[in-house]
Amino acid sequence: MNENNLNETKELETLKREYESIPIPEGLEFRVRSSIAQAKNAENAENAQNTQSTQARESHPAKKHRYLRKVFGTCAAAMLTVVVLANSGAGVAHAMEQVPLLGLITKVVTFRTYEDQRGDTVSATINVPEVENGGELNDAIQAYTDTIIAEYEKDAASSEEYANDPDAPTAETNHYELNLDYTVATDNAALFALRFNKSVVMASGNESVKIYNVDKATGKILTLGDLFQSGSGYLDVLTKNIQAQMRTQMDADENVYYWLDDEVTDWNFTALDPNTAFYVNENGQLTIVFNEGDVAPMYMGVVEFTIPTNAISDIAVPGYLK
Amino acid sequence: MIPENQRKQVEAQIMESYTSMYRLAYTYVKNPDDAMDIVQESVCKAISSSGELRSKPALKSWLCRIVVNTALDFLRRRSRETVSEAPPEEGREDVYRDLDTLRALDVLDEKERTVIVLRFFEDLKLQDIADVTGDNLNTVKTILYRSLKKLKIQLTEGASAS
Repeated sequence: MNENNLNETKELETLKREYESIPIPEGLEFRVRSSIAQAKNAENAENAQNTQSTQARESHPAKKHRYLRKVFGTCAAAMLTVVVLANSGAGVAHAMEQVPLLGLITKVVTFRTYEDQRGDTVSATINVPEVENGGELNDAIQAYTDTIIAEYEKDAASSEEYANDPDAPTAETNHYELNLDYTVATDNAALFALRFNKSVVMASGNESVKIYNVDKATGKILTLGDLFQSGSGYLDVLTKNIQAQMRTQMDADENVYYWLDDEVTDWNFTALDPNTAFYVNENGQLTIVFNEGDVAPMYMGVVEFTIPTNAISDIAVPGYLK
Repeated sequence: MIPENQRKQVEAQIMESYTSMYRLAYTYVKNPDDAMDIVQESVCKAISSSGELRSKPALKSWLCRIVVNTALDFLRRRSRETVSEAPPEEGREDVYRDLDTLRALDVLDEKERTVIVLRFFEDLKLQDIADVTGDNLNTVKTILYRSLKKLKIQLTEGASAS
């Protein structure tokens, strides 16, 4: 009997190990998040529908379904997060976020502001900047902001069609707000970086960052790799540094969580993507910016890691970092 | 209207448990694509019915119940629609680790499998499992005992064959 129980336990352990080794597909988390967003919007539309039936006692099931489908599309679009960074020049001068839009060295002006308000619940404010002598940076900005505006107009049109329908309910829950603003993340002798912060507010919010870094001497948009000597294995160095910082932060604060040693190994941060957003901070240090959900659960928001320059000075291209 | 904080709790629990939800679904449908569909559908159901939720501690078992019901619905639909379809294990299965041992669970019926998975793999309390399956506590104990017995036989046979 004892022996049987022992066997039983062992077999169960084998089973459990196998169960826990069922691999989690890469796309699962995204699907889960999308579903959450979808369900919320479906529910909002459902509420609107309920309001309608009590108010008018007339139902338009076909219309409702069409609307739902549109809302789902909107949701999926909103889940796509974007970060754009532009660096120009070489040096570091200003604290990010509160830098006046007119930098000392490079002038940035709001070329135009796209503002739109549809009803009480749908709105957008998109500031499109222009950089003096910006060259290819301005083209990139234009393309990026055009994409954002198109995204908004498409989503807003489906909301508006719904709102203008005299038979439709007052959709108080049908809230959609898109804001895009920019700050100068870096402006020093060598570098200029323009940072876009995009927020989409639907049922819940989603924030993302895109930063353009430009070399001031050449006007060329820089990639992360451009800051390092070729063949230096910089991604590996940065990855290890960031992993160590994650560990330190998690040890110090139990509310901080990164996907690092998670049992869902697919999600663990094992290698830095060379396209990750970055800028050079006011102290001349490289700062890596991860979008919401990239390396940590969504509640952690956009997370940034500052890389001590002495950890990378031997592989960095001279002139950009201090 | 579902109170916002209640929905937030459900959301948080989903983000904490979605890997469990996936593995649970996987034990039913046995392939990644369908398991993902089950999870997606379950998440939608959970959010939209989060207003029906009464007790917070049972959040995880509540999610499990949704997954189990969704998976069972799915299997019933599939068995109605496609009688002679190839086993769903075929295809991408080979990129994964061999999950042969888990097939031992096939000897169990759906309810037995649910009880075993929830009790031993997801570490749910027996009472919570009873909530998931809609049985009373004693029935769950009986099912558990019966399942273990079945499983042990199955596993022993497998062991002696190798």
